Amino acid sequence: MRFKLTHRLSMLIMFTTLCLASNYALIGLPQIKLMDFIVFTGGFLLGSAYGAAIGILSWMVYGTINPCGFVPQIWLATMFSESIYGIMGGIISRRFFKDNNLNDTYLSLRIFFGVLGFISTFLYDLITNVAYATAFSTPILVAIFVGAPYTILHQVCNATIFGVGFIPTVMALQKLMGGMWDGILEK
Amino acid sequence: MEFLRNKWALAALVTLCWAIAASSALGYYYYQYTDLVNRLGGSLVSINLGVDYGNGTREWFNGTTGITLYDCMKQAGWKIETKSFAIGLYVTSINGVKESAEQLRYWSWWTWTEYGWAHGGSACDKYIVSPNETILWYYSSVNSTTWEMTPPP
Repeated sequence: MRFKLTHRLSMLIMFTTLCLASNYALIGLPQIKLMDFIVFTGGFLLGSAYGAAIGILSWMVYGTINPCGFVPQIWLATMFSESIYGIMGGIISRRFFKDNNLNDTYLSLRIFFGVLGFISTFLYDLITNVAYATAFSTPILVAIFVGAPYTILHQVCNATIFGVGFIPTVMALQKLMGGMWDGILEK
Repeated sequence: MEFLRNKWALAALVTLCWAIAASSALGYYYYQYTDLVNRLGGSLVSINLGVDYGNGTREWFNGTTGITLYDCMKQAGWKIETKSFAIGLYVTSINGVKESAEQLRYWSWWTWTEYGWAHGGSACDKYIVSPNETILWYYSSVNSTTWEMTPPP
């Protein structure tokens, strides 16, 4: 069974609002955000295109109404690099989990998703740092290295959130929605 | 997801993450270091520099200026012989007094703290001196068992 377009769109909007609500709620904690995890989960469950859309739409709002200010180059970079999580979620779900049960090798899966969270965050930070360097005419390597403590914190937090939270979240959502997704969990 | 059953594959992935984080941290500290050296480039620091030949002769060169300890040694007019390694310069001789493997005596530098002399932790050309720091080069004898250097008296 496949979800209708209206269902998919409503889920897209729900994931996006969840991203925004969690981002504003966690605004006092730099680099500790649930948005990346939610975008990845959305991509995993709905497919790459929807995952990317969740990332882009979330940053479209969060990047515009942001206490840190609005810089167009960085806004565009974050908007599109956030979609990495959604695209990666969709690719992982289609390529690896089509015929798999998430209960298999539970610990290994946790480690795998933790690593995935780390690497996708590394890519995200790399792109946004390059965008920052371009926007403020700073050498790219300097921008990358000066921001290293923040990026490491971001990567480690995301690895932890992905590793600990991803499987229970997906299984809970699967149960909630009747176990029929247009993705890896579709039987 | 067959590869997830291979422990080595998982270990390789975790090691990759560690390598990324460690490389970022390395880059950060390297940038901080070079930035500090560049900023200090125009302002020389004055220190109290001494040399103790281990035979009761100790000379002080107070008010010696430089950025690194090696700069200060050169500014004090010492005759220094060194060997160059990746981690920095290794001093083999000061003012004609050479290290002696037979007698187990080597040159080492010590900085004065509120607890007494503390052994210098890095090569002299890599160590950036602080204002009014007191540093002594000491011709230390080395314990043949523990390879521990004798601190200056």
